[in-house]
Amino acid sequence: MGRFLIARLASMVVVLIAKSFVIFVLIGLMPGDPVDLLMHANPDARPEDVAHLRAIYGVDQPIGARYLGWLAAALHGDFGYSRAQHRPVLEIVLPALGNTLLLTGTAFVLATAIAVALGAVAGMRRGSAVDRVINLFAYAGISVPSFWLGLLLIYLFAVHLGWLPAGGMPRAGQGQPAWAYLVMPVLTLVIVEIGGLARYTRSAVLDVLGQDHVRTAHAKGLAPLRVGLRHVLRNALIPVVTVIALGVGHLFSGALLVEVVFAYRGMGRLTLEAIMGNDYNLALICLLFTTIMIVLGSMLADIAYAWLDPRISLEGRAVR
Amino acid sequence: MRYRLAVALLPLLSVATAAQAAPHDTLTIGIAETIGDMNPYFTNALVTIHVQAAARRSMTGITRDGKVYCRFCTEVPSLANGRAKIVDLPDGKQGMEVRFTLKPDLKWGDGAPLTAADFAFAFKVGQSMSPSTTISAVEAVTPLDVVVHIKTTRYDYDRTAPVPVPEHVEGPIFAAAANTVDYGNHSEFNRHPENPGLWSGPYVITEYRQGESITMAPNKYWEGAKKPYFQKITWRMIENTAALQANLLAGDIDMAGEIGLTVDQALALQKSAANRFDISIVPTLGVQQLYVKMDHPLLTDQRLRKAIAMSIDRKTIVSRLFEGKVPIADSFITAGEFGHDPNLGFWPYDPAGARGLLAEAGFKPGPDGILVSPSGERFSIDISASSGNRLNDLQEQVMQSQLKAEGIELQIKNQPFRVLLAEGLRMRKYNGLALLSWTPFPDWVPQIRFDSKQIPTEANGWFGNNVYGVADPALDTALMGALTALDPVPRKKYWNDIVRLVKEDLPIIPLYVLTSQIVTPKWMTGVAPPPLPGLSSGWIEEWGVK
Repeated sequence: MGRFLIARLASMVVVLIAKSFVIFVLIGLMPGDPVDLLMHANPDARPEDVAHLRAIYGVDQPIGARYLGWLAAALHGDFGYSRAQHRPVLEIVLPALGNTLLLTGTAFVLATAIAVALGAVAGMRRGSAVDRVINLFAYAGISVPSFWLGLLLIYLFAVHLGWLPAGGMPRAGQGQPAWAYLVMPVLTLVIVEIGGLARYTRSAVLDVLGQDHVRTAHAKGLAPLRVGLRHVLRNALIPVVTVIALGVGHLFSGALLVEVVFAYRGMGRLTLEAIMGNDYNLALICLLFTTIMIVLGSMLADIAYAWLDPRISLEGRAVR
Repeated sequence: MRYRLAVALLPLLSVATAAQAAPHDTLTIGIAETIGDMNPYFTNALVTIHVQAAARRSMTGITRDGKVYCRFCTEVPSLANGRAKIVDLPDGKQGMEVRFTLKPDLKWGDGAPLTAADFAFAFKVGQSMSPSTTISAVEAVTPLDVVVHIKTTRYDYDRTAPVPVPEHVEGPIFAAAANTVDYGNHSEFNRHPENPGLWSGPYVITEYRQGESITMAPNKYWEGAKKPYFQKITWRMIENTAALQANLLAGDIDMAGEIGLTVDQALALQKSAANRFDISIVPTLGVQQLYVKMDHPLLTDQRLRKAIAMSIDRKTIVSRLFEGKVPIADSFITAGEFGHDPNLGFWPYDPAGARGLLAEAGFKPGPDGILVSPSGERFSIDISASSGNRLNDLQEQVMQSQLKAEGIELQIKNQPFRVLLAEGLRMRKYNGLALLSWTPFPDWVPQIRFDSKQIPTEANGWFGNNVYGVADPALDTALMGALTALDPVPRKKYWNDIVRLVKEDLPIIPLYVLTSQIVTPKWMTGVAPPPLPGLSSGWIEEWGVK
């Protein structure tokens, strides 16, 4: 386990360095540089002023040299300042990351628990009325756009019923309890995320139900619930875990629209603003944090495989 | 079971009750953009100006009809009262010296005196970013007297004092900074905008949550006769206008100012929620317009530009998109402006006239109905706008269909704003037309827009704002005349020349006048629509309850 973690962390560092270079180059290739927007704010600027600012920002240097300069500073813990906000990028990113983790983490746990439960029930009661209702719910969740669903919930719970705030950050002292601000964004994400995972779990359960060891367990006279939990669900979860792990990254990117509609200050909005505003350092760090989350999700999936099926070795050797 | 459900719903009901009991000495305003940089020397984003206008005031203000009035000064400088004078400069040219005298006992939000040195310091900060082309120095001759030295004679000398920056707060930071950007990174405007010493208006910022909200409280050192009514004002950033509208209807925000709802939303709200809100849609000084790339091979001939202008039915655009409640623009400046000439007008919608001009230029219909030039080139041009804006898309589609009826193909090629700005406009890579808006200050001479020296080229490092490529010596002369003439009579003539020549040369095609949409609750009063969108908060001390 220890060797596995060290190896995965080392590979993560390599992935991050490679990805930082790719992102840096891609952002650099996009038309416009930080000085364009700054000069747009100052129509009286002369060519020499533009050149002066380009030199200060370093955008007059070749992209390779700029990247090496950034990497050297980053390795010393200096991730630079946001061009658009003139604040240290970590000071901007860390609160947004915390907000996103709160939102997507809550939604992720709820969505996973509900989806796996619904998928398992639907699989084990294939063809029943319960299966049909769950399928209908799942398809509705898959097909509904999160943005539209969010607005619908706002009009229902905030405008018409007046039960919940229409948006904003979950903080105390706003006249409403902090948790109230999380209800609708989390609900939106949960509804949207449940559908696919429930369907995937149902398929995996159906696969396992037809296997010999399940028939044997039934033949041995084990209680149906025990068979369902220990012999069916545990085996069915192995492929489902892959989908769940990849969902960690998807939750980060997928939260953008929900963040926008509920005016929630998270990583999705921040990343979009940084890219559209040509804010090099900020965009780079936002995208790297998203990469870290995806790589960590993948690593957790590997650990979960080994826990669910001891025949799978983390060390890369077959277990006999 | 019912009892359990009722108990479970209790916290939700208490949420609703708390929301309904909100008192009216606080105000929450929704804004549809995020505020980034707070240092006014690094941004001119309208949303920042809108919010900071509540907390930051200038030496002078300007009314809708272009009249300058004093905010911090005792008297508006003029040649007649001797506060402005024409002086001979060492290079033999004429310049000006303008003296502003401050009211006594002005203070910053932390109680420190606001003096002439703060104006001189503001000029110094501005110079470090981009040296002024017209002002050579701003001098604090006494603690109450500011003298502005201008390199030429200028009609707008009475509004040349910079907006003060608190030297006691920003001075040491500026002095220690390695360069301009380093100053921005350490400026208190960005590091601690809650520092009351930064603010000179009726309010000071008490809480700043990046990307979320800005909260303000009355400035206890505000010198104005009218004290602000609201004890707490919160500006909430809700970028999506549909969500902003829902927040308004839900009562989570009280008001949406100029950086808020779109025209169509305000029109819809007038029908559905007029019993809850006062909704005003008023013209501003801004104009939605088509930029014309005059050196595009198909647009160099003035007759072809004119044919495009005459093929666009602006009345239909306004009636389809805005129910006819937005004025059609007849120039790049709006009615009531000093330079506006109501008798001049613009080229009317005249499809027959347009067809005549196109035929005169040798264009004939091709096999697909699109006109073909004598050299065999199809009359196909692009139109570009900032992508992701539904109203832009709709306007483009209407114009596309109108031009197609006259045999002109318009291909919509929208781009993200940063791309449109960087390559499309600055490097003049837009291929025909660009759909944009421009909002000038009152009586603002558009020299940087239309002067031939302002055409961006590779040779000049893509410097300049004349992205149309208009090069008309008569227009250059008129622009310089309007800028430097001090007598209103010749200035008016220069302005008439500018408006007439822009109509003839057609570097732009005006579409409609931009409006400000202000939605206030029925219980509120005192919000006056400003001439410049975003500046209603410049009179925030007038806001109150009925």
